[in-house]
Amino acid sequence: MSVAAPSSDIAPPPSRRPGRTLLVAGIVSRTWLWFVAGLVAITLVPILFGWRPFVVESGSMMPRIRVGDVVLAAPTTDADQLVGRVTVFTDPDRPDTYKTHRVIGRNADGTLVTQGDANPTPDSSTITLDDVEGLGRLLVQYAGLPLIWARTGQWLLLLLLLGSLVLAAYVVSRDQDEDEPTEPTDGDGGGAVVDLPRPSTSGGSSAIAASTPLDPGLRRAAHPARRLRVLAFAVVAGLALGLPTSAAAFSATTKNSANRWAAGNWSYTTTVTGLSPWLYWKLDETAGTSAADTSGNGRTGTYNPNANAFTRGIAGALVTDSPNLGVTLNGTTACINTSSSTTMNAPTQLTEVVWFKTTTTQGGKLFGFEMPQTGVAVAGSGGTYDRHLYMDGSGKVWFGVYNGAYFTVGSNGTLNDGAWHMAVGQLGTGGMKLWIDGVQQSSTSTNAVGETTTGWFRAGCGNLAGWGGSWNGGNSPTTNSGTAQNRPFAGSLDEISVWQSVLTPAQIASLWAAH
Amino acid sequence: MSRTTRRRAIRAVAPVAGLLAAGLLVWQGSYAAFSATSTNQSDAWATGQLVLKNNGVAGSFLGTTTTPLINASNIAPGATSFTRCITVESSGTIAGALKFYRGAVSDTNVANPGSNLSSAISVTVDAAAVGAAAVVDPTCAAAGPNIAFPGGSTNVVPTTTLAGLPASYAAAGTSMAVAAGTQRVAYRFTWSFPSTASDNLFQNASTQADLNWEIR
Repeated sequence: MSVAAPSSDIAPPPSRRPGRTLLVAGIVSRTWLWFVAGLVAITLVPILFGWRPFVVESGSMMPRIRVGDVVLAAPTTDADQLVGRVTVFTDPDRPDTYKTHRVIGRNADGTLVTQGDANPTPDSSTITLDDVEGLGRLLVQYAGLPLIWARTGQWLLLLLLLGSLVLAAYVVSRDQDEDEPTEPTDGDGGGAVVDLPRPSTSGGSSAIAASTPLDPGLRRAAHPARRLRVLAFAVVAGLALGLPTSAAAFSATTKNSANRWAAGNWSYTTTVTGLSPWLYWKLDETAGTSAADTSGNGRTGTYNPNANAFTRGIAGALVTDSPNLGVTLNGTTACINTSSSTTMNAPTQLTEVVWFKTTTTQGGKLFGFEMPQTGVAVAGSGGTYDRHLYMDGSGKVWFGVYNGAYFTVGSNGTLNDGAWHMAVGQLGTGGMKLWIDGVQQSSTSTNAVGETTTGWFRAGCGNLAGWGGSWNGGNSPTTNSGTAQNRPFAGSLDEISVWQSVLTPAQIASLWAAH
Repeated sequence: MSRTTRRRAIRAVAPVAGLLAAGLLVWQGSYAAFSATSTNQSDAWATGQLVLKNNGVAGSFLGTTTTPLINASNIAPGATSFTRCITVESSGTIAGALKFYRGAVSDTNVANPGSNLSSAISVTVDAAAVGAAAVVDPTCAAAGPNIAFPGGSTNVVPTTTLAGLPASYAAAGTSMAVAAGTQRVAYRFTWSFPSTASDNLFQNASTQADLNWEIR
């Protein structure tokens, strides 16, 4: 049956040929009115024994349950009974609305899986027995359509339906008038009911009540009993208007399964080697005068002047590594330099990383590029020294580069606190930067070029004449003095690495994170 | 008045016919919808109004794809800004609101059972409509027949942890409006493993989760 059927059932106006035509029209009209009344009754009467009607407002249970159908749900407490059945439940995603879907399974935890027949996948939210409003028992097709029409503003359809009911009532009363023009009461039971305007479950009752007195065929409605029946029907129809609606919501899901993240077994060492350093001295040696290069590039170092200048095998800076060893320098003669017999050009792009620990107030050179290989050279006599990390007497750490003038960037705070710290000096694209413990220090320089020279890398000692800073104690170098000022570092060193490139902030952060 | 009597008798057919029709309508409708043995019709899928698929790692569009978009192994703190893209296709006959949410998270950490890697992985989700036929490359960059993830995308889930991603449609973030017909929406996942003071607890830990999309 199509939704437009009601209007097509209207009989032709029985004006000229009362008699047989009117009789047929009256029967058709009565049938229509009884049909509608029957649907209304079937919808509302079960309320008396606890069933609840729900008007379906969307179509995900198609083709079996359509928009505008009324589902009569019986209360149930048996979850097993629900599996495979159409169930009305409180939508777990929108607690103030109802949903009518089929229960397709029951989980081990007692929750119920639901799915709309027209949906390709189950609903993503499961429900509990507490959510269930009832098990679908009766389906009154079309009975909720007037409510849907009213909600969606399809007033023309609503008016057509109401018109068909009014017309049918008119035809019926004309049919009866012909038989019993003066009799005030009805003879047969059918007439007794059907000559009342019978609105559907829609909200049209008031409109019909208003139009009744204007209809000449319904003049007997003035009779008190008829008025009562009109009123009763209006009340029932009004109740029907208050039927709850239940969504049968369309939905579909898709899934990409088993996405996985697995952390490796990382360490500072693997992180450094993963970044392909140019040189990597772990300083794990406990004997001998050779410092191994873990970068794989064979750039070993030499403990100078001899093994006795160092205390080795001390607890190192790393917690993720084993062994975790470092060295303590004697603070006077100890120095570690690249062992190569030939000089190299000073890097133009440079990242150098040194771990240090000290409580000294004398400062000293941590690491730098210098000519000559050992000892202290005098500037102006062939000696050069820059691209170095050093500590001043107050405990601040500096990264210095010479480019016709002294360019330095310093740490935010003092670091001679007896704890391990990671200092990273950077030169090249982006200028000069200093990182302490993974954090870039606020002091930066746009100078991106160092002294053009050759030499060797060294750690723990070296000339600092001319580099100034906040020195105290004796033998402090003074700004731009040309004299040799060896500043040995009295403290411990560990994990020295060098890149002839500028590491990214993230890469430097990863070094700190991995320690 | 025998004529009237006869007419009354004929009229009496009307209530019976009307109520019988109403009863039949209810009976047959109820039988079709509520018979106890009926289950989800397989052919009912053909009437589906909303259909959703994804292409996994630039493969075929399927309801469930089992080749994970993200399969990152041996990651370490400081791993930053990896992006992976996936294309979701809606082929419904009506419009809907498409949302992303995660499935259950499964964490494994033998050494430190309380430390879940899912609480350390940082994720941002962006989405962009890509028309009816385009496929976004899993790397989010144009490759072969695949297009790059478009600019002008919508941030559907602001940066949060993997565990902190919404886990249901109701909780999901911004939805993407999808019109009727075949429509594709590309999703970009940007993830990182930021370093923290306690990240050594995540050594050798792993975590796993499904990526879900739903349209309503």
